[in-house]
Amino acid sequence: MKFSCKDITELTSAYVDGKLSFIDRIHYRLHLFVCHNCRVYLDQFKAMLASFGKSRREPEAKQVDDLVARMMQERQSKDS
Amino acid sequence: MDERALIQQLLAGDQQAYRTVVRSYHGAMVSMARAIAGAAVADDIVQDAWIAVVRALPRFEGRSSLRTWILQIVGNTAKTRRRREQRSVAAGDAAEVEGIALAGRFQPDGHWQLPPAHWGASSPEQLLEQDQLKGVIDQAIEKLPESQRTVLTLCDIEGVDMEDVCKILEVSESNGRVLLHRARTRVWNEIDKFQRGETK
Repeated sequence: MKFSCKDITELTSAYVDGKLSFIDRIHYRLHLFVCHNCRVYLDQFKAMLASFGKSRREPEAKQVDDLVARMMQERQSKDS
Repeated sequence: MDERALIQQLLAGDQQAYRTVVRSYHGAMVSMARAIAGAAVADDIVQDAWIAVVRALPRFEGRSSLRTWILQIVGNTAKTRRRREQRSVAAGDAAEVEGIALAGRFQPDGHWQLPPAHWGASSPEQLLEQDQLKGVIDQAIEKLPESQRTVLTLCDIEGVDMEDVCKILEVSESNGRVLLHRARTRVWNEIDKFQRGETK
């Protein structure tokens, strides 16, 4: 087996981001095929990344209002 | 909404279009400003950058996405401010690239010594549903070294391309990817510790 479990954890971002070479991708998958713990690790890692994508916070309404008001003011002063 | 249509609406002074871009990009702008010039001045920088966006919009040529263009303006505004205040650069600090989050979890031959815990919550929704767990994740991100937190926030939370992030922060893409992986691994480790009952 080319990769150990430790190697797998170090390559997981490259794997999920599609940055592993074709050969390394095959070796990564071969390891997963035989290693339950690394399959669990990859599933958890992916779930964590998906949760990051859903945790984006928008600014508060008041802050948006204030910023847009300032931008409108700037537009008007630029036009006049 | 189609970006070209959005830009036309911004040029026409449509307030709703301005609200849309502020809601969409403000968070990423604050992260970028904070990384370059520090948390204390990040809000100021972003306010100045929004004004610069209004002024420069008629000259926007569409060679990059609107978000990338706006983030470049924030980057330039923040760098000017940093030079003025002579703050040292934190992004890409080599020391922050070092440090293995999973030290002690493997046997000498590279097999798991302490394998991943069983996570009661395993879907992204479940991870965010539990307030306590969400707090653990937020805290883990906040505790990351600055350059790691910035890359994770911009790429994984705000969805900005790694290439754009690295260009504006002036770090190599390979360094950026190392920072991102270290950040993700640290956060995973904190969630795992929580699931294991090691943190409350």
